[in-house]
Amino acid sequence: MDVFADLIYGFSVALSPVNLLYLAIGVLVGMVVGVMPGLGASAGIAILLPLTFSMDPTSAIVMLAAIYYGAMFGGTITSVLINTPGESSTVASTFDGYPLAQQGRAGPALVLCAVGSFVAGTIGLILLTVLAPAFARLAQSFGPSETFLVVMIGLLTLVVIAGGKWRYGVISALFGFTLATVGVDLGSGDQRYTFGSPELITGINFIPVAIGLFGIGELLYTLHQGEHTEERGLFRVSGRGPELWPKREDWSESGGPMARGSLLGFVVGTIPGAGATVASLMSYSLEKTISQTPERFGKGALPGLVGPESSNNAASTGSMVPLLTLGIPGSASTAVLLGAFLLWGLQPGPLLMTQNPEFAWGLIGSMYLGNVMLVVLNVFAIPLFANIARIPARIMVPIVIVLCTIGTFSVNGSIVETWIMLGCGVIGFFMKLYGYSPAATVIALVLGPLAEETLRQSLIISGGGLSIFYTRSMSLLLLIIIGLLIAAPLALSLYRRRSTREDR
Amino acid sequence: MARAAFSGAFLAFALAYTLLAFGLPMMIESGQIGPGFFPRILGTMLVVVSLYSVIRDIREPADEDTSSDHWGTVGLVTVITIAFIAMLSILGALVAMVLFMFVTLYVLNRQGMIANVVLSVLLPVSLYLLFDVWLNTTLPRGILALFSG
Repeated sequence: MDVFADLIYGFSVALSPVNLLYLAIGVLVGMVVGVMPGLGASAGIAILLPLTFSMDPTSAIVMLAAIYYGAMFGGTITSVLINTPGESSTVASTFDGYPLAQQGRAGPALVLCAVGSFVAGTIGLILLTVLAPAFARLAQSFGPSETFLVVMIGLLTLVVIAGGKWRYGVISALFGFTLATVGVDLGSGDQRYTFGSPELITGINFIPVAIGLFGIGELLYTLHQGEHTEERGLFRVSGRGPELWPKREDWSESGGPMARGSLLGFVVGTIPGAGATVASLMSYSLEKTISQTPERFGKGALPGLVGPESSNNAASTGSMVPLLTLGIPGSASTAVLLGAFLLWGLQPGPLLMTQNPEFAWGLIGSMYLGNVMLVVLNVFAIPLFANIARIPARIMVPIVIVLCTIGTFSVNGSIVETWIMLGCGVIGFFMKLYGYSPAATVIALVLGPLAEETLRQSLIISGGGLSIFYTRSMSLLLLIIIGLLIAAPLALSLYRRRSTREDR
Repeated sequence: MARAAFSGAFLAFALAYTLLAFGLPMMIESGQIGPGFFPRILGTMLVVVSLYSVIRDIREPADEDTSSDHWGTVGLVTVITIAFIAMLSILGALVAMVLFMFVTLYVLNRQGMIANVVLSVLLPVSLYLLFDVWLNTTLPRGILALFSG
């Protein structure tokens, strides 16, 4: 089959010595970032992005994707060992992971996580390889109205699913869009919101915003929570021996959750706006619902750990589908990746697979290799990475602030951008404090120009009216989906209110 | 209340943004949609939602406790960082980094002063080498330029 030839080609690109090196570095860096509580994959990718500018785009994206995966597993380690999710996608892993660690079974738990992630990655890769061309063909039929609606779906999904107060999510997204309007308007060539500053003519770069919101914002929040006054306890995961390896019953218990998690995760991942975090939580609910022994959940049930771990990995693979074929990111991390693509002049979309196959398939191939590397690394190096979590916040905070600041400056040598980073850091802190969505802001910032352009084109095609959105069948379908997305939470809260009223 | 103030900040921003948006033309000469179109929609929506948010925030009791003993530290570190960025071009990246590290570590990690000093020199030097030498990006020289000529 043609696609598998492409995949083999991708592997050959990924297996080049240079790219393998970058893959290894990325996985290691990712794990370090993921293990540090507070900083997640999105922060890690954003902060390290400036360092990759001197690299070839394919090598750079290989490394950044490796950071993404590494960070996810690093987050798992802290979730299981110290009940602190290092990543939002590993929150579900604390439910049963930490109890398992408390029972002295951290070793088997982590091994099964690594294996589950690997299985999920494999299944995800197969599905991706098979489905990506189909998605690309679908994307080719998309006109501006469909693209605009998909962007809206992506943001809406993020806002609806992320929970919290929807008004905060909407404000976050709108704020991101307004930032995107700064600069030269593509349609007319007029300047908007530049206030005569030469720096702002090119618009607000997403890197300082991402680094500020995710990096500095998180750090300030860490201080607010008083983590700099805490002492980190010592914990030990035995390096070798019977305590490290899972028992036979553990393996048989985990098979089902791994398979279910992989499939569920991949499907959820392909939905723009839904990513690893949603997938892991859904998997937990699923495993608990179908379990013969639901009372064990929350007390160290392996399916409650392996399921979410598999699904968040599969979701990461799945989220590559809308990212590569449509250019719509499903999460903060993929939004940063998308920003990186645009920076390198790579236009995600149906043409990416055909015009830059070495990039797209090289990325996909390296994602898989990253998975392999993770399994190998983790089985032998878990204690080492676990100890990094012990670096006290009070030392880590200044180090990362310096890294963020210098990193931001190095992008364009712009002090204005460094100030933007700090400003977004303060904003990001308050956003995190009050439950807003920095991810929505970054996604909106990156997609803003695309959203405006496609809306403009849609209106031009329908001669100034909105007719195009319901005369094209695809657009109509997407509109219905949007309607459902808006209606569902409303219906749910009404239903909940009615049932509590009836109970009285 | 601080929560409502944050929503209020967005409202203020939204009002300013929308005001400026209405100053941008809706149409351009060729009859195409002008630069003011999208901003007006965005701005108006943001005004509406943030106004709603301010009202809700004032009315509703906060369901999450956002109080902390550490606001002072948050503010202090922010101010030190502001000084750091301001000093970047004046003192140069290396010197500014060293000073920042030392001051911040002094604030946060008073008990480990030896480690602080070591780290305050080690990290900036490593980063400087990484960015300036290996990656060839230009970091501000600042007062170092006086010495290297």
